[in-house]
Amino acid sequence: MFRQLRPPDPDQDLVTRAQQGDTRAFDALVLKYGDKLYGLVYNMTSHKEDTHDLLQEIFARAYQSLGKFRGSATFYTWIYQIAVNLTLNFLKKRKRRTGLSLSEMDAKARQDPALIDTTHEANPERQTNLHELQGKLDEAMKKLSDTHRMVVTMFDIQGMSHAEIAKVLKSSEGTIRSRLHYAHQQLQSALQDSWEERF
Amino acid sequence: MIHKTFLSIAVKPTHDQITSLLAEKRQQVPDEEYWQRFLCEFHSNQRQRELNSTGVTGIVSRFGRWISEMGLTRFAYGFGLAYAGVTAVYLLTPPSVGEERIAPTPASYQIVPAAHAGTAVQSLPGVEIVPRVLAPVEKRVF
Repeated sequence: MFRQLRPPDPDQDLVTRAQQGDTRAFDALVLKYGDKLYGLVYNMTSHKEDTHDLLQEIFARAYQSLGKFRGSATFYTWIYQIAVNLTLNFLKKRKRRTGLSLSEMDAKARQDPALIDTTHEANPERQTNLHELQGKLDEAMKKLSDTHRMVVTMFDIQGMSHAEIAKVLKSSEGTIRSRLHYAHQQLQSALQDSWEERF
Repeated sequence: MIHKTFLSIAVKPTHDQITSLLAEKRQQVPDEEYWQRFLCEFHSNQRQRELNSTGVTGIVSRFGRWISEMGLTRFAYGFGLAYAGVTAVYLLTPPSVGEERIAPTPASYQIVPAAHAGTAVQSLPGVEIVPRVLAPVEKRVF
């Protein structure tokens, strides 16, 4: 009977200005969501150049389709949907094209100088240990299916809620929880051996 | 020693350990310089795209993009459905529809009298069928 009121889109002003042709407003949106989308795409592709190219494509698609954006979802959800669709399509094409397994992808990803870890610069020993564990975790992540890896990336790495992920993936919250549960179990099992060595 | 053994048994990382390890990845971000370069490239690409969007190549590339956005599978399904629809319409439409109907005309037969009917049969000259040479009487069979 009562329609649930949705909170206003915090990006409404920037979006409106960008729709009117203000490129600086669109730049502001790129800078606002760039890091998050970079994290999403990079954790899915494990490849620096692919991530860069995909991000260019994602923002180009958003820029061209901005006129069609009517605000039925927030800009954040909308651009995430574009990113998820393009990334999953890209992964499918890459598998078909090269037949490369993800373990053959960017092995130097963790030492990428373009990526800055902002938390552990003061503790190099912890940083080294963490790098090793992250390496094992990356390998375990690569063994997950694309959809499971996507959910784990969005929930655990990006810090999105179940509801937000469900909106982006156009799925139910129950499905998201189920996928997360399964993925966590897989990761726990995959990391079992390296955990034993370490502790 | 006991402590070490105990820890080696408890090998499987807990759910919380996994999530905290994953959360560490949250902090990995590209530097600011990367985004400046990214935006320069982005605007350059957009200008190039706008230039390309005019003319025949632009139309072709837009059509290609439209097809790729639609997805090859959906395109194939759409084409199949359209083909099936056209075939069904063709088969279900009665063949007489649209054709010009020609009124039947009764067949008329005209008897044409044969010309020179009286002279059609010619009488041949009379032929006498008699053996020229007769065999002797005793050899005659009849």
